[in-house]
Amino acid sequence: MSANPNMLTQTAIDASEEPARRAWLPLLSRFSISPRTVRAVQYAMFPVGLLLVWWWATSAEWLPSNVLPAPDAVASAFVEMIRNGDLAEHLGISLWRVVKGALFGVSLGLALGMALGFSPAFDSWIGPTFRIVVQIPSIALIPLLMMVLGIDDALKFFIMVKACVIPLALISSEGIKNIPRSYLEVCRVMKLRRSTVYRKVIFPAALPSIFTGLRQGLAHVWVALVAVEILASADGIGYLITWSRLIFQIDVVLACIAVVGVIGFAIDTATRRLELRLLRWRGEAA
Amino acid sequence: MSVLSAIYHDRRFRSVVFPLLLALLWSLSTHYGWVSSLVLVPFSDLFVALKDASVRQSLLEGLAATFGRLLQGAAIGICVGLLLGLGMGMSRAFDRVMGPSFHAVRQVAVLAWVPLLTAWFGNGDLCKIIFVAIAAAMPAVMGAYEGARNAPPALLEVGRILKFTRFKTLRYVILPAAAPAIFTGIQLSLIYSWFAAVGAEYVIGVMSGGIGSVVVGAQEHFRTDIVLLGVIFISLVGIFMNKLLKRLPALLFPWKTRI
Repeated sequence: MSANPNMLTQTAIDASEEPARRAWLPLLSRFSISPRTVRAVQYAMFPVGLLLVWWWATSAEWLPSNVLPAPDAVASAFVEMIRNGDLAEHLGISLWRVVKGALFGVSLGLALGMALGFSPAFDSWIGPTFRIVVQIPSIALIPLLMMVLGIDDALKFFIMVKACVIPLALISSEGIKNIPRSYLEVCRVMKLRRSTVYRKVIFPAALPSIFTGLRQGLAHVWVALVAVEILASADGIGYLITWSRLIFQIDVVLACIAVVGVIGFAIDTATRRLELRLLRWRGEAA
Repeated sequence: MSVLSAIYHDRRFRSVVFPLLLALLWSLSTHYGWVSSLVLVPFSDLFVALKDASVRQSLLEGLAATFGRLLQGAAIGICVGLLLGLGMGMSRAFDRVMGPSFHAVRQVAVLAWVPLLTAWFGNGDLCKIIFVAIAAAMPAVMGAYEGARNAPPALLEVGRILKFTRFKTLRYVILPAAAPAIFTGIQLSLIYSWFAAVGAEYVIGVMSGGIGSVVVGAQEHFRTDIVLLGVIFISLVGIFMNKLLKRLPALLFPWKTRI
């Protein structure tokens, strides 16, 4: 969040938006509608409207119900999926894969990022090749990898680790390299010991970028896993989506898509929270 | 001695050592048959395959077909994305209406939409173009939103004093200020849509042709040389697009050269 003055001007813009809006502001006070209510209506407008149109479309049967299932069909498919254990089984498999891929990917990515960032020598040997190789998109590699690794766990593991290592290593190494010169000069003036410099200056200064890399990496792991499971898999949440699509259970597909979104959101929120908590010393300004 | 040490410390020398080692490993392993020829073919085979006119033609036609789909999908996705992003960035009210839904959709891995799209739009060109458009829209929205949000407050105030209409504010304040961010968004959009256009052929169907379909076909016929060529072509197009798009802003926005 940038500093306060910016927010003040933003609210000032908000309050004086266009004359038309001002004209109906007195109406609000007459019917004693608080701005908070207006806000709630604005928030609800699109999702509720979409739900209504969807409901209407399915009850009027604009499309066959196996192409566009009713909202309540999706809800009951979701409940059914939980009850018969399908969701737990496939989601469990996917999440376990994510944990394995993320653990390995994060360690490798951190090690590589720190090596590239801290050691100019290592960077001069490996860096240029690394920065070219990472530009080869996974989507181009998948057919080749399928020939090498098959479509089993090895393929998923490889794609997940690649998805995690690249942003993590690139962002964290850049962050470490861009530690302000002046910090190091201060250290030299104060004649600090090398270990103190690393512990008290370099590592804390590099942490924000390491965390940005971590968040990007973890978000990519989930996206990559879902993609591979949809492309080539025999179990997992991505497979559940493709299988349900094949037998035309679009209600299950929609419910699974929602689950995929919620998991992505949860991973993003969790890493963001963790970042805020661990980097609290940076204060509000960062 | 000093010459050797100069070479040893030369950054360009160091940067080629690792790739050369990899190439050596490649040629040794194909020469001595350490890996199956299904997985890795000798480097020279790639040139042999490239000399074959029919191979060349199928690769180039594939590239053209995929690129055409990219252009159509990206054009739709970027237009819709920019409108949505600018609207959300300029008006708090519109942001409240659309924002949460947009961010909810953004959380879903793009490929997860594919099964739904194939159910609704079949598995022809239309479905692929819509898929590419969805992939292209996300970064465009983010770029336009960030750009419009971060328009300098001072300039907005000047606009208000001059009693600018909404359109004039957009034309003279927001767009120039947001242009670099919008461009970054479009750049990401185009890269994403290239990957989406290739990926669409794997997941949606190979019937309507394209470079991804060529690769999948070659994979099914165990033509590893063509698969490798396809991977190289796809990567080169992506890298080339990236390089080209990174050069453009400096030419287009001379008033904001810091980026």
